[in-house]
Amino acid sequence: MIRAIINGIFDLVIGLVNVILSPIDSLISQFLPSINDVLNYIGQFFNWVSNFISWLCSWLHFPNWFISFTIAFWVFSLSVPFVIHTIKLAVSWYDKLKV
Amino acid sequence: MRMHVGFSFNIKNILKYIIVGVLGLLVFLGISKVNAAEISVDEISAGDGNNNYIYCNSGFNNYCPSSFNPYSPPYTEYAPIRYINFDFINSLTANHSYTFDIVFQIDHPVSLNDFEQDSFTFWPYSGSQLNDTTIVWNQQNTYEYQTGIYTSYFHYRGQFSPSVSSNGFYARLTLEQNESVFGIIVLSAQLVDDDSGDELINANYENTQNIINNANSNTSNIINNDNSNTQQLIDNQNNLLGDKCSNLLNYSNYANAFNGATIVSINDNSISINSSSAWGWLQYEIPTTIGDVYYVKGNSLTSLVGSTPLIQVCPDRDCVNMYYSYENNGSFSSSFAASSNITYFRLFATKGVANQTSIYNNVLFSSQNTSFCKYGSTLSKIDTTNQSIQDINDTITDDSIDLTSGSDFFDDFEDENFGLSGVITAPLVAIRTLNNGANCSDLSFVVLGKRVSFPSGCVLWSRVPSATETIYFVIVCGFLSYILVTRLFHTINSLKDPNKSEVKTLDL
Repeated sequence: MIRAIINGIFDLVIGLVNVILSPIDSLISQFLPSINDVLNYIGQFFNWVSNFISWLCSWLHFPNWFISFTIAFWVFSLSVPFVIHTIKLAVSWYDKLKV
Repeated sequence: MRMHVGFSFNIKNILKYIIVGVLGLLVFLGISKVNAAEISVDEISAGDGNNNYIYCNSGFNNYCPSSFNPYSPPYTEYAPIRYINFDFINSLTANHSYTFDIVFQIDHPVSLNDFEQDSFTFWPYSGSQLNDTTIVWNQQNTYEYQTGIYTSYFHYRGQFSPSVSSNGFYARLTLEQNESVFGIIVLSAQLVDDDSGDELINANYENTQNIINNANSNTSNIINNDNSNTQQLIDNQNNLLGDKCSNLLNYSNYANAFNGATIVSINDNSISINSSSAWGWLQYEIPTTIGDVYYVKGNSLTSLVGSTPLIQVCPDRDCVNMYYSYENNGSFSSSFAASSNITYFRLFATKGVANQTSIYNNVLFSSQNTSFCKYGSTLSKIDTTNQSIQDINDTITDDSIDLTSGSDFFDDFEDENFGLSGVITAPLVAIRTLNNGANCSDLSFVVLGKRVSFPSGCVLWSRVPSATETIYFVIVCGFLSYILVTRLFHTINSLKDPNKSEVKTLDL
């Protein structure tokens, strides 16, 4: 379930980025094909990196729950403190403005 | 397969056997206590026959006379004695036979061949000397303790039967002549009530029988009560789960006559109609609930003389669709499921009397045993509840619901691994790939025009024993999980610090 949610979130973000950048990509591929090729090579490299990650996981043989837990931990560590401190910052601004 | 053996292994029998066993143990202990009862020696005294008794202190192991110094031999003093008196505190029951055993030690200055006694007599505290005392056994062993000092051990066994009850008794050993002694010590004394054992056994047996009888009676009562309660519960449950039947006459308010027929009378047994037509009928419009199952049943159904009753159960007023139709005399029963809130239940006089066009005041339906029934509503509710539970279980155990619905939603967002968007979303793709876990496919790429392939680790791990795999999980994943949890707690704990505003960021 956690893995599905995380995958869904990433799919959502990736999909939104694709939607937003699709006009730009179309312009680049239409008018700057060489740059488009470079970008495609870069994208293929990242694909290879993704495959390498999967291959590495096959050798490390980490169970799925552990991988999901690790990613969930990082998602929590990167998101929750950020939200908390943002709220703190907003409160401190409010206090200063109130004075 | 149910196997029946002679020993019924249930809690009631076990309790009964425990009670009997405990009682048997008590009986055994009681008999043993009687047979091994030691009596207390209150006082030992000895005298020379001239009322010059020298008394000792109470209890065992007291030398007499006390002025002697028996613990510091050689003895320097001795006393001539003719009688040895023992005072025993022990209750005696009148007309009981007692066996008295006593072992005592006498230290004396000269060698004695025998303490030839004249008699060994007994006196109850209350009452006179017992004349029926007999000495049944005695034994004497004499040893020379040291030169000039002898120690003799005596064991006497006597029997007596007091005529009155008493709280104690005296025993006197009368010597044939005066003997010189340094001291006397009683080593043991026992008094056995030869009759109390049988009485105790009988009493215990009687008590045992009483308790067993009470236990059996109570057990029987419990069983009967249990059976009664169980039967009552079964009856109540049957009542709850059973069919709900009401006599059709109770629905007389829902009865209407049709086709020239009119209701003449409604009494406890029948409904009578008049009809100007041979096809007049009585129709009930009984409220029902859609989906519930009903049925009608009747015994000894009768109708007009010379006619055959026709019963029709219909979901509609005109009986276009018919649940059930029955045309006969006698008993009948049939079930149907209501498809509307009103079920029409018709009673026809289908075949009127020959050449008669009118029916006057004839009993159309005269069976007080005819009922309109509803199958157990509780049962149907239970079935509904069980079905709901089953549905919930199916929903819970169906893992595909959440995953599929989630995937369907997110699958609409297509990613494109090309161009600028592919570069920007590459880290997210990498993380998503990591989240999906291992991919058991070889890693291959082209180097200098040749394809190089690295095998997947799944091949190796598929050959590793499960125990080794478990150890690996525990050690590696357990250790790493511990680190992650520790850091997670540290992160959460740091949120409480108002002065700490450090925020981790992932540089994408």
